[in-house]
Amino acid sequence: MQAHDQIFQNINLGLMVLDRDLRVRAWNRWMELHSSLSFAEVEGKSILQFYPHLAQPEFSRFFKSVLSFGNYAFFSQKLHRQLIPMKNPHPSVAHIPYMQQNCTAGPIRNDQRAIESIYITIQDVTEYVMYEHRLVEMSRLDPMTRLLNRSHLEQTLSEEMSRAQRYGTPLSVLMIDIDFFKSINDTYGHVCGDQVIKAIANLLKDTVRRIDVVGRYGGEEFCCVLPETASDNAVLLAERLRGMVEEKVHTFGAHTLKVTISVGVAELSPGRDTLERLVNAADDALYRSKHQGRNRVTCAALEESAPHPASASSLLAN
Amino acid sequence: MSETASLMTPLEKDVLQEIMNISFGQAAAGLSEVINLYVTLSVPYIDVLAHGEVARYIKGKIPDTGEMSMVTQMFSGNFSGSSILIFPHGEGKKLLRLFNGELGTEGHDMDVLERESLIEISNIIIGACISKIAEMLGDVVSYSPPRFYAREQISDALRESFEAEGAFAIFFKTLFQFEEYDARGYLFMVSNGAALSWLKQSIANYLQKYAGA
Repeated sequence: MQAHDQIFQNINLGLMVLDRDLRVRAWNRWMELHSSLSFAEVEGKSILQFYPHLAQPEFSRFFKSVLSFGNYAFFSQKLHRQLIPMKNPHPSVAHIPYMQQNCTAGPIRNDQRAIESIYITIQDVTEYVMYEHRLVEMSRLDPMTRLLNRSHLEQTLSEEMSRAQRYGTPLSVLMIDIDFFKSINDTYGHVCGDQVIKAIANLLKDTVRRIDVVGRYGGEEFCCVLPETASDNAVLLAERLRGMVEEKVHTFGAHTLKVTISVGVAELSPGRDTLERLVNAADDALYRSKHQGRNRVTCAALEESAPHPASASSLLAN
Repeated sequence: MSETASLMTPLEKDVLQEIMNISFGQAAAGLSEVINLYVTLSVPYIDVLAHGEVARYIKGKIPDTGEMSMVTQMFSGNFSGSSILIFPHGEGKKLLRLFNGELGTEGHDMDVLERESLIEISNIIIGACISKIAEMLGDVVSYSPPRFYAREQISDALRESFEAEGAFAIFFKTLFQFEEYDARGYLFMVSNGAALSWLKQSIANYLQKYAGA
């Protein structure tokens, strides 16, 4: 075998040659391995016979621009995911079923310099895509609770605020704080504190609607962004969350304990039209909930507090 | 008129202008016929500049490089140099509609998608324009992969690409517009000076062939 043929066969890259009528003229071992089609099976046949989706404009643009203009063309993973569907050969297959591919193509000219066929290269970039997903996730999520972290939450809130302002729809935020959290840490240790935070985070996540966004704002402080929700409905949700947390029994080793939350509600309004003002209004309402005895909901606009008796400490140790 | 302008006679410049007009017409026709991309290219402007002046010249033509996106691609053959496409930042988002229904856009931010679509489209436009010019001049060129620059990177990239060397450049500028997407940008081509004697010969051949001179 010629040196070039050996490289063609053994390189860790998918290589194929298509003629002007899309018939397969070459197909290396990498292609055979990942497509489960041998060269003998595809040779001389139209690629569309095996991959009919290549009749779509995205591929014809790629193919024809090389054929007509003789240029070097790209088919990017970020825009198209993959050119030829192949099973993801990596352990990441559980998350990403198909191999992610970056592809290039260029002309092959005959002795008269006319373009007779085109070559296509397929590079497996699945692992890079995995790392990229992980990085994006790490930059957006709080590692302990898997809720949005503060900076991403603020970004989402400001996008939702612009959307609400553009379409004239209501928007509310809840600021939520676990009552007497410090004493949980002091009494049972930080492992128990973390467990309580995770439990409340899950409760919030599981209770809000799909379009709502929950983030961890600080240590034991959470924030919910509620698009298309006026303060009256936001208060109802806050009340529901407050009641659920109050009912929930946390088990930690031989101990069982209960915690409560205080909530501040604020709705987007003309006087409260920046992220800072809206968050401050919800924070002020939260502060009033705390000040009035905790385990309650206070709404910034209506100055209404929930009709629940204050309990000096709802931390019930057993 | 700069000293470098005398490197090409007025006749040669006129012929080159004509070659460019025809090439760009064919490139636009090719883009619409082949890939349904309807692009209008303005009549190109041609000049001969000292190599070191190119970056400053381009920046002079673009009001604010801080608000632009740029794709560059080198080409090489007898006719070699760089092509530069500059879009106002955000203009590429309009082009995303070109990929409507083809994209799984979840999980990527708009800037990434804008960048990827600008690279893909620019690569095709550059390929169409350059290949038609090369064809008219009896040349075949190959291309390096395109590179993308945004905003504040543009100025540095331009300066580095065209730093001195003492050579001169044949400079082409055109405006292009995607009709149905209401998106527009600038296309610059800078041929390196080494191509000059070859270019003069090709122009002479062209004249002989079509003008009977």
